[in-house]
Amino acid sequence: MTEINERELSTTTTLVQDDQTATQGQVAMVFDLNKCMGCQTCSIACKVLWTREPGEEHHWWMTVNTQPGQGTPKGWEEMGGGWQDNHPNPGHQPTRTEFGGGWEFNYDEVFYGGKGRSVHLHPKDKGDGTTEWGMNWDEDQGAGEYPNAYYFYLPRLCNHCKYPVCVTACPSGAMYKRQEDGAVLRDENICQGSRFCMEACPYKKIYFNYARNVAQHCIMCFPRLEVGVAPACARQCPGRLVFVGPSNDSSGPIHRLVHEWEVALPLHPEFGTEPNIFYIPPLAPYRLNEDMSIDFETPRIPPEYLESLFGPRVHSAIATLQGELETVRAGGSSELLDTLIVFHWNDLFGPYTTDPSTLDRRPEIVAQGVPVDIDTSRKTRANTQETGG
Amino acid sequence: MKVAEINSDLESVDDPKWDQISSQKITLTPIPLDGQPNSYIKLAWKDRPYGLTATANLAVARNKSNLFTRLEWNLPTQSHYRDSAGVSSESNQGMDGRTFHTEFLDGVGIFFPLSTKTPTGDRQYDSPPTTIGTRDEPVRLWRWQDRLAVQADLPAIKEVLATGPGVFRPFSSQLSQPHIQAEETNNLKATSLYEQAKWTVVISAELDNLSVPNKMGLVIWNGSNDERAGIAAVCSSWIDLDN
Repeated sequence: MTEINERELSTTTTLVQDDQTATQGQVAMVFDLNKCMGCQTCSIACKVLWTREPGEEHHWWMTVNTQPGQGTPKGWEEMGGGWQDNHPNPGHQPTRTEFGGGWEFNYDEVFYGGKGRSVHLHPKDKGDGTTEWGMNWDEDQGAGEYPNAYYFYLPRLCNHCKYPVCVTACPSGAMYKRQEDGAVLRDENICQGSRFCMEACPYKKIYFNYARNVAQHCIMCFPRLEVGVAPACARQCPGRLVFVGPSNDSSGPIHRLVHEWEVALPLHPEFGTEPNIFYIPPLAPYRLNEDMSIDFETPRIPPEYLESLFGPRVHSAIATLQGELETVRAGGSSELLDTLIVFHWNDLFGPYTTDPSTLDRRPEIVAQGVPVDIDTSRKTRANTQETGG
Repeated sequence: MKVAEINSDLESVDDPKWDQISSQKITLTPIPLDGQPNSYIKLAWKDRPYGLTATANLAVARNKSNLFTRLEWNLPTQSHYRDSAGVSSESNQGMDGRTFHTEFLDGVGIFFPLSTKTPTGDRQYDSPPTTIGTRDEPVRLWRWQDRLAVQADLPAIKEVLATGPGVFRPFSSQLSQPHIQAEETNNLKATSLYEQAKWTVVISAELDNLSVPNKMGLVIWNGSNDERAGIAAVCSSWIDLDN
């Protein structure tokens, strides 16, 4: 933390300063990867709420990918962006082909064209490569060799970073970090579609909307947060693995998982943006020896691979989790494991436990054909971006 | 340069009356890297050429109610057309293998200093055109983008308030800045033609709410070179308009 603050302050041309990122509140999320089954319910919950309009066909603000894998957009971890050596690190703008998806299917041919017995339903190939990749293309491929193959699922969304380099890169000042919850948002009335944010974001979770000529990304379901409803990806999760809440609530599970037990880690901390989305790293079954006996000594998921995703702190996090498991297996109790089990569903959501069906007007209704008026949230933006001039 | 007085409209790019109006060759220069609005853009473009359009021909005419501006510039490659799903209808890949929405639209903008107030009276505008406005000295920018209307069903031309290279806001945002006194332009239109590796764009607007400008600036974006925002070519000095 201190190191990054010094870096920020030493960069006189850097626009994101501490005072800009010092929001009154910061909502954070923790995803327990040991409970994620890759069902994509979170992805669908987000899709049906926010990205059903023309121009958003290929948008998946929430995705779940199999790891190891190339993810979405294809090969995103190698596309640059973030902070490096005290400066923004120029990155690659993902292409439409690298995102893939957003397909049109040959419904007419199969269902109405009399070819239902001879032609399969398939995406229409427009010759642009978009049918050769998609948001979950390499599902369950993973890595390793039988009988020790391994994979796990990694849900990803905008990290609503403390130091959002996308905000720095935006020339028009359309992007900002909101005061009350730290959500990184964009005023679409100001966005010029210049897409520097897409280059700068190291997580590549920003999409371009061709129909509106603006970039778009996860808005942390801020209309839901404002009325006490958890984000759709969290509330809809059947595995009950997504914690939501203020990061500074010392009595809440997020603070304890991140700062006390230190088992919840950000993805690719080396990107330097300080995400507010954290992950409980995955454990895995024991390896099998050639004679099919159990190898209790060698982790099936290589520790170096986990370190490449979550940084060196992943080793102590795994050790803590395994230690707590041993305690319970020996007949003891574990407050950490009790927290991760989530005996009561609403314990996941901190102050955001309101059932949306009890509201007179569902908060996300504004998404049904009418763009969210993000401008109304600007009155509480953390600070006005210095945009030169 | 002389603003020609005419008695009719001149909204079409191929109206033969343009042949009778003298044009001026305008020298353009890349918007300085130091003037870009943030460190990300400065780093991303420090080793990459931009502002590749060196010159443009400009002709200006007016009648009793409208201002007409014709701009011509050479461009070997037009930015590719994409439909609303972002799919190119011309080829699968750009010139260097980059695909689809890594591409940006060709564009041109003309801009005029806005009258601003200081606590002691009117401010004398003295920033160079290469800044495309500043916070204290904004400009009125009419920005045209190739095929935006087809790709995004948005107006191909719109008026924005510019306070720096790429620092463009909806023109209505000036209402919250009391030092600026300007009304929105009425009936802003553009017609365009790309032919024989040359763009011709005519921008017209009503003069009702626009005090007749005495100088203007010019900015051009080369979409095939990923030029957008402040990554563009701009006139190196103000173009004086002799009304």
